[in-house]
Amino acid sequence: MQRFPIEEHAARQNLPDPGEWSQRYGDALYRYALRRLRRSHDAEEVVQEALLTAFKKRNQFQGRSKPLSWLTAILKSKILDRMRQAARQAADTDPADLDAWFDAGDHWRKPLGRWGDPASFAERAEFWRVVRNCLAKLPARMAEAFILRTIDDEEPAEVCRDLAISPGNLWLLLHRARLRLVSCLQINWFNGGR
Amino acid sequence: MFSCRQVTRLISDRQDHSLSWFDSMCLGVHLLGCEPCCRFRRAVRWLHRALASAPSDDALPLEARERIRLALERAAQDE
Repeated sequence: MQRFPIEEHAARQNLPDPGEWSQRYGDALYRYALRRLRRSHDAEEVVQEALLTAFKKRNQFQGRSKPLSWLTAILKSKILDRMRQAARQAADTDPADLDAWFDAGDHWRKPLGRWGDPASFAERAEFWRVVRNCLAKLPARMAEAFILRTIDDEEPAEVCRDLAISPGNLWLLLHRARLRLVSCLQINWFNGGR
Repeated sequence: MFSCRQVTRLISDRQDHSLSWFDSMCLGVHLLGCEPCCRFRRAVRWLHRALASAPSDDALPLEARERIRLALERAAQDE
């Protein structure tokens, strides 16, 4: 029995046998998803979803891009679907308001410490775990806006389009995301998480 | 004059778009005399640099890899 009837066709197009996808591309796709979705369970799920979609659409693979780029593009659209869905479900309220950082006169309550050179932590897995946990604590919309803007390095206009929000809304979300992340890292990494 | 809270907004905005001449000037003047806001600005830039280059050695857990392989196999059989 032929397990993957499209095998010959796929080989001609340089797309490896789907039975090998999870072995060959699993790690790269998983890392891509994990950096954007923050939770490992969600990342695993979306990789599976993307590969099944890719399987159904494998005849559309033109061989013009590398298989991994093609799969990543499918994965990205799945991730965006999830982000939009999560953003719709999330209330627009921002429970941890800014009062924690600023006093009544809008001055810093507790200034940040000195952070040192990013390169000295960047290679430590524990540091990235803390970063991921801090990202996971942000409300969905805020996290999404920040991730698309920073990790994906999208232009602001692109982020607005992806999330269907106005520029004014985006600046607000990014400001709050940065305040929260900075203070979360201050507390959980620089103050003692090490 | 802008408060520290408002200045953090300007610092954030400047990562994404250019500020008006007036805002930019106010930001500059504020930063000259405010160490906490300078630290926030450094932290924001730091965050972007660090995340943009985030290495990751996470690997797809073996169970998930196997689950996905089986799901693909099932999809192939269903066709």
